[in-house]
Amino acid sequence: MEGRARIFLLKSICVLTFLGVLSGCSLLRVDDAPSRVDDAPLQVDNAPLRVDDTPYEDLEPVIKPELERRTISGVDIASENLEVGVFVGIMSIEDFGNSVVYGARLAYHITEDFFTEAAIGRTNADTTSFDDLNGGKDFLSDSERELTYYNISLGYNILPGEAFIGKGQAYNTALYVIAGIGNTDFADDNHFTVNVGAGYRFLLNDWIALRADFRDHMFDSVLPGNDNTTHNLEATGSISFFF
Amino acid sequence: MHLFLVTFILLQCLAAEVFAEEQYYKVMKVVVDGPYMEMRTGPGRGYPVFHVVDRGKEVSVIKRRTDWFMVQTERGKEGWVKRADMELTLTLDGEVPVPACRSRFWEFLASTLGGGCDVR
Repeated sequence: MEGRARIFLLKSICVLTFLGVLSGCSLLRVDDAPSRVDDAPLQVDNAPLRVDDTPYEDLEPVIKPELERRTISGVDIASENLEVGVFVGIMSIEDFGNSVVYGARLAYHITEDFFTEAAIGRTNADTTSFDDLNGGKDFLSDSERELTYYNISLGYNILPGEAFIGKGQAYNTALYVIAGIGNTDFADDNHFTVNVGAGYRFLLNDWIALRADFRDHMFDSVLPGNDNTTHNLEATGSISFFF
Repeated sequence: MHLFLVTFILLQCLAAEVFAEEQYYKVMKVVVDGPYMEMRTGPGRGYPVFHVVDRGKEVSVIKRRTDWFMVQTERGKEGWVKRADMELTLTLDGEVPVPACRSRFWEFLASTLGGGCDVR
């Protein structure tokens, strides 16, 4: 009798433990099925479901893929937004004739449409009509005849497209309009200068470009006698490189 | 004063250049993940599409100008791909090979004015 009672007790303990384990599992599964929590709210605060509160995302994955990340040194995608070039052309300084101008440009392409450009140019003014009338006496000294300008401009590419030369050659081209401000050092005086113009960019390949540029440099000048805004037209050709 | 201004702007441009490169996931090869990828003859919307790369094909990224990327196909064709198409590619690691900035313009602003872009 005593033996049977003991067996009954042991069985009950076993059954209760089994039920406890089952209920424990089902409690743990509440996390996986949050909709059930909404249906029958549990006192989650009073009975912590898991030992640690680490979110599932932070837990270490059970299966670790043998994935080797590539380590790449240096810059692999080279940016080519800068364009540097030299130019030569003719500049007509108002009242001082035409003369050869040369200089350099550095452009930075912000988007496919807009670019900024810094330029520096130098030319020597020719004789003015005053010189001729004055009987050979120079109106300006040689150093004063030297004109140097530098400016920063904003350009906008319009009409991008292709130009076809012969049957099998196509080149990328673009027209651009450009305007900017700068300084002109002429006749020992600095003049605030506004420049506007347009140009044509002809790309020989993806990094060499030929450019034709027409610009009007406008500044106030008292030379050769009266105070007015002078228009100094400039036409240049240049070769430039993207890097 | 003027010279200072010019120098300042130039330095800013150079800084922007460095920034743009730093923003990059360093990748060379990407896999087309969109339906297809259009290759143009030049880095701009005005240049014609001359080649199309199929989904799943691998291309090498050679260089970048503004928001355009020069890529080379497995068969050696070279052309320019716009940023929106590059966003539809994956690196061999399964990442998107474009910087966090929404566009080149924002990238430029972030680099000149400081700060960065967190929103793609």
